[in-house]
Amino acid sequence: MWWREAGKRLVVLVLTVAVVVAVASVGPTLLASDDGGEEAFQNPEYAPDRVAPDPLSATGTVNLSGVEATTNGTVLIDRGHANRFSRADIEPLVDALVRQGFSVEFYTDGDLGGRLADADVFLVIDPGSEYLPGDVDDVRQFTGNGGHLVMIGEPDRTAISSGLLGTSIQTQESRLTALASAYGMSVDTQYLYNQEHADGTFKHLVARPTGQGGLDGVEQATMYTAAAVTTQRGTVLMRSAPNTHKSGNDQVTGEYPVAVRTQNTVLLGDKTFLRGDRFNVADNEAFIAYLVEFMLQGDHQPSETQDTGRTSAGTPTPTPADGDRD
Amino acid sequence: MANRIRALLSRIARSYVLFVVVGVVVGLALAPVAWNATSSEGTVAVVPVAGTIDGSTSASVTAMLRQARNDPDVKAVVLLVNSGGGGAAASEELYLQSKRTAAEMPLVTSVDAAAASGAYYTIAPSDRIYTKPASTVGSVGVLATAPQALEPTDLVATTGPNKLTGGDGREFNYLLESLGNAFIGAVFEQRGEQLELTRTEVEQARIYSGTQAVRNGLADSIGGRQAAVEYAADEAGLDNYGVRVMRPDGTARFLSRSNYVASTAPDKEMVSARYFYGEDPSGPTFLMVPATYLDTSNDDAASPVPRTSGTGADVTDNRTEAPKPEAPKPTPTPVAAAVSGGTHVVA
Repeated sequence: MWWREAGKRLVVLVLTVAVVVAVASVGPTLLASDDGGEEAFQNPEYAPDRVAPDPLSATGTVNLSGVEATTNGTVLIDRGHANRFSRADIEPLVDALVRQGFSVEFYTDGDLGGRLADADVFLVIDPGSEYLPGDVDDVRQFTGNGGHLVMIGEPDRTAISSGLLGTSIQTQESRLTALASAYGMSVDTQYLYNQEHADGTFKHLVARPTGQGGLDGVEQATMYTAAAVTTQRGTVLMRSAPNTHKSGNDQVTGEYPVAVRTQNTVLLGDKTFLRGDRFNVADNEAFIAYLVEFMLQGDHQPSETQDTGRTSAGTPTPTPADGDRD
Repeated sequence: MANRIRALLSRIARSYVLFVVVGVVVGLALAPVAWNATSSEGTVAVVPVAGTIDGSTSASVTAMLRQARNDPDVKAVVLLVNSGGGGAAASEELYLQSKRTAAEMPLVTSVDAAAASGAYYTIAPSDRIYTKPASTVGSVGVLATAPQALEPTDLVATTGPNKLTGGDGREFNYLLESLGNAFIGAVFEQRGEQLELTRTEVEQARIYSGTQAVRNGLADSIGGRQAAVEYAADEAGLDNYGVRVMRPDGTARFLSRSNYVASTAPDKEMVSARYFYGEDPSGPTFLMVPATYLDTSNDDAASPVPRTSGTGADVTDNRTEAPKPEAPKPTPTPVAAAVSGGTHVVA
């Protein structure tokens, strides 16, 4: 029975091969437990909820439904002091004013007092040259006779332009010192930043109302590379969120005023929040509505005689309407 | 005479002395191998991270770390770092590789000239970070070229309004912020217990010297590479160990002259900011490097003359020699667009 013995050996051979193949196929799975750490490697520090910030909402319109439209107001926008703004920078504001029946005019040069005589609101945005004493007096007389003044400053900025001769760098300053100081106000030169409360990046501030000045409907607004502003005896409308820094002063934090007003004057530390692609971020549209309402309240009644009680520029002095300050 | 010689050879051949002598000689020749085979308990692998972290660097270091992890003889790894960072994604890859390595064995870092930005990201998972007083570490943050506001026209048509730019300026800021949050979150995940700095202080992205870094917790000790190797071996429980210095593939590229000079990489070269941005920066490029590393004065990097480090206003005219007539037109890199003095860019 040689074939029976041979068969046994053949079976043993086959079983042996089967066992070896089985071990070879199961082995990697069993040994994979050592590498399980790689498969189960976790990165909790990259959890999207922790890493990706939620953008502030950018919805809404400048709603002035509670304000009666007027048909005889005029806002004069300064273009005569190398002002740096474009049409896109003021379009939402202009749109709201026009919807309320205001006409919008620009001052480019010539007799400022004469142009202000026909205006109710004077809007000064980021001037590149200082106001001469005579112009300051004209504006003060304007506000003294019921006109409203809105000044918008910026921190010192640097412009880089490339041309055939290479790159040139220029520092730009908001030259509001003479005009603002006549109202006891000033604009800082450093930009503000906040690493905890911001619209996407640290230079885009979140500002909050102080509760004064009747700034209803605004929980938080945003400002884009803003300067701190100060007022001697006026009202602070909004301050930057807590733990705001001034550039170059990284160890000191505070809540810096970015919008101040008196009875007839408003001073802001940023112009960009008025822009067409920023005006409705957070509650900016409500703040713009507040500004428009302030402008609509301007009711300039030119006096017959010139006011000769002028003071020198650079010395904060009471405005003619000082007694009405908040 | 011939008979006497033959008899002597015969006696030698029958003697055991000759075989003993030969045996001793051969044995002594093999003894060191045998000694090491039985005395060494394992190996400390030294992995260099040199130069700008780009895809090539990332792949090379990744391969070395994987090789170290898969080698049963390697019981600990020392990262020998001389880099100011580089591309954001490449730096993140190295962070993940370091973290994976640290999960399997002691990982110790020795900082040579610099471990800034993306390079600091890379070493953050280390069990211990050694710096030298002249090392620079920190710069935890991301910088990027922002997309320009473009509008689809008749010349370039798109299926969506953001196809050209990827999104508007606000959205880009949030995007960039998410990269920064990931970076800072990782640093605190790895070194939160050691750091004496608050999150906002780290976010300010300062560079620190080696001694400052030890004080604020970005690093652990002052020491060189030998200290790092000894600590790594100790952490791995190795009394007797070998050291294997791994060699990266390719050439180490440097944006910083000081890092270039300090580097011991066998193949190294200086590159300019254009390495990242090209001649005409267009789409966003996310970088984890100190902005000062992106000085365009490195553009003629082949020159052995060191360039002064521009700090903004003089960035396009900061050469130590007169600009050559054929000097390339300055490229508006971020450092050319970001200037000093508490100011910021409007154009």
